[in-house]
Amino acid sequence: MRRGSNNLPSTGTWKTIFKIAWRNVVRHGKRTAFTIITMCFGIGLYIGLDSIFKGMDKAGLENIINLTDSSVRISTDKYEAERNSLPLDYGLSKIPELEKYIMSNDGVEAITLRTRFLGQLSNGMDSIPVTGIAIDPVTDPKVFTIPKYIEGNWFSENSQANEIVLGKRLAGELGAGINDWIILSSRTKYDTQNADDFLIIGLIDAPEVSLNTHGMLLSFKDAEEFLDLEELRTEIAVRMKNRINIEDLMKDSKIVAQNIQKEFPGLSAQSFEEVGKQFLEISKSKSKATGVIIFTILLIAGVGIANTVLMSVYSRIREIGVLRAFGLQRKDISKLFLVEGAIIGVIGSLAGVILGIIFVSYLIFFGIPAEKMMGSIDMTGLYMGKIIYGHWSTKTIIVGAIFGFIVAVFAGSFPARKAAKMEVTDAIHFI
Amino acid sequence: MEKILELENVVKTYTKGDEKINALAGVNLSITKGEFTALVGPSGSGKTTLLNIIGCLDSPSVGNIFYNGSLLSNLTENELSDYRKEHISFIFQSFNLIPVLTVRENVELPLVIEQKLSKEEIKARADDILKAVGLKGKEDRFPRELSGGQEQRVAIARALVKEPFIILADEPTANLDSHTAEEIIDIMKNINSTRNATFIFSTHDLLVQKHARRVITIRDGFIHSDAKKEE
Repeated sequence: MRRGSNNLPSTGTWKTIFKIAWRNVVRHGKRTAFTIITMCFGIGLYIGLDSIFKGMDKAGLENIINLTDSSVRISTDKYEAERNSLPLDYGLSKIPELEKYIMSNDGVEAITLRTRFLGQLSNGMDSIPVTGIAIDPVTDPKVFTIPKYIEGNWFSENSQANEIVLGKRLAGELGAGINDWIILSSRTKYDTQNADDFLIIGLIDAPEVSLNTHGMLLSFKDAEEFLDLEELRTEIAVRMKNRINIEDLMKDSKIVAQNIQKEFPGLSAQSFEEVGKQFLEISKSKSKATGVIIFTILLIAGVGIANTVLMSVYSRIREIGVLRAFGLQRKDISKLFLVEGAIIGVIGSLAGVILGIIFVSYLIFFGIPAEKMMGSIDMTGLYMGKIIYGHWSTKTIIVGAIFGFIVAVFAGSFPARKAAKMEVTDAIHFI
Repeated sequence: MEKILELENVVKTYTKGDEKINALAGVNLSITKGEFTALVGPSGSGKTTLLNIIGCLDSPSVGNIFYNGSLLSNLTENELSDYRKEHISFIFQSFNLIPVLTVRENVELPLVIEQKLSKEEIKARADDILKAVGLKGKEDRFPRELSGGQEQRVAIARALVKEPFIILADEPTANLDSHTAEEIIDIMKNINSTRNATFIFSTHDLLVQKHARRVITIRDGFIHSDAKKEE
């Protein structure tokens, strides 16, 4: 059986090129292994770091939704403009009408009213500034999951005493515990200073630094008198029905926020995405930083591959000459070394993906004990829960593998070109 | 006798800096099928350049080269490569086997590159030639598992497997002891006579020269003498 001759390598030639490339990769096991380990480490680290950062992003957004601001946060424009100082002013009006409208939106599950204020907690010796939130103890747990993280008790409807719940770390700083009395001081709605004793009924030990270190809750029942609130409510927090994908929840929340702003001019309705804007910006910077790290590692791996293949070229000059003498063209020689780079790339990428998957699996199931590792460092804007869990991303794994492979082929292309440029007469040293 | 190779006034000039070196200064040569020819001469005489040009690894600066009547002097590098692939084979002084391929794979390599025969035909051809060079039973060994003489036999088998017009050998016995060298010459001679394969080899080895039926001496880029021995 005769086959037509053409300039393209046949399956048999490809098979031989692959066979020679593969066996050379195996033959120089040590230097190949070093290159593969570098690649594996680079890709594995990329997948792992991305998993941590994505996990932190997800947990950070979940904290906004579940612990601090809810899916949609509504207040007046004026209040929003002065939010940083948490004024006891610019309260919401026509609240029943507003509540009715919000609940009529698709996807809204529950709402609650809140009033934030600035205060000081003192144990008689030391005082610490706190962010107080006056809440409705009945509706608040329908929107926020804070009671899940309470040590001690939640507010009881019939309690006669002034009760507060505060961050566990904050209580620790004050040397206070459950059933201890503590002095809360704050300016009232009428800008007069007020102070009173409060009974600590619970401690918040949530995966949210701001709540743990300077968060404090009290019921509207106690806040009315203490702050002279006179029914002042500065914000409405909205819980949306759960969606498996956080991006879908983001869309739902955005629609509700837009509807409210349209219907009630003068109100500021912000979805959790907008609330977490600063947080997400930091997250983007983290991704860029990760990109730089990974690029550097893969650059090192790329140089390693180029070096490995180049060493292979130099140690096989005669072989190149022989293959050229027997009729392989320059481009075929180039392919031989490109395949060698590609084989290293495939093995390195696969090993990196496997390492990455192991790393991510560990992060998903066990997480990183961030609190133990970093103590009480407050990294503003970054999620710093007790344990940081990883997030699975198939896209990242595929991108990591493809990127690693491309780097390998690209790195292999330089020595491959060098091999192809060799003059056959010089290469074989004879003829 | 059938002429398979003809060189007409072949000149090869290299430039080294400002200096021009005439490696071949007008060579006229005919080779007929089945020749067993030795190229001899001192180092730098032009043997290597002549073998380069005969082997289509290089083109002459001036002059013509005909293979089986076809003019090859003006072919491009890729066309020369294709021509080599089908019609010319090489045996190297250092054997130059591919270390990661087995004996069989090394021998089959030119046919795989040539892309003309089926897998079964390639295998049959390789079996046949390996038997002819006395390497039956060693097909699955790697070059590192062979002696120098066995490696050169593989190189001969690899050169012969595609039944080329011409086999060019560069000092084929230079790296072998005298006993093994004699064995290799016997094999080449045997193949030359039984298969009518054409051999041209450059050599300094008097033993090889003794067995050659034609000895061409080159000096300073010219053919100094061309002696044919009577059978």
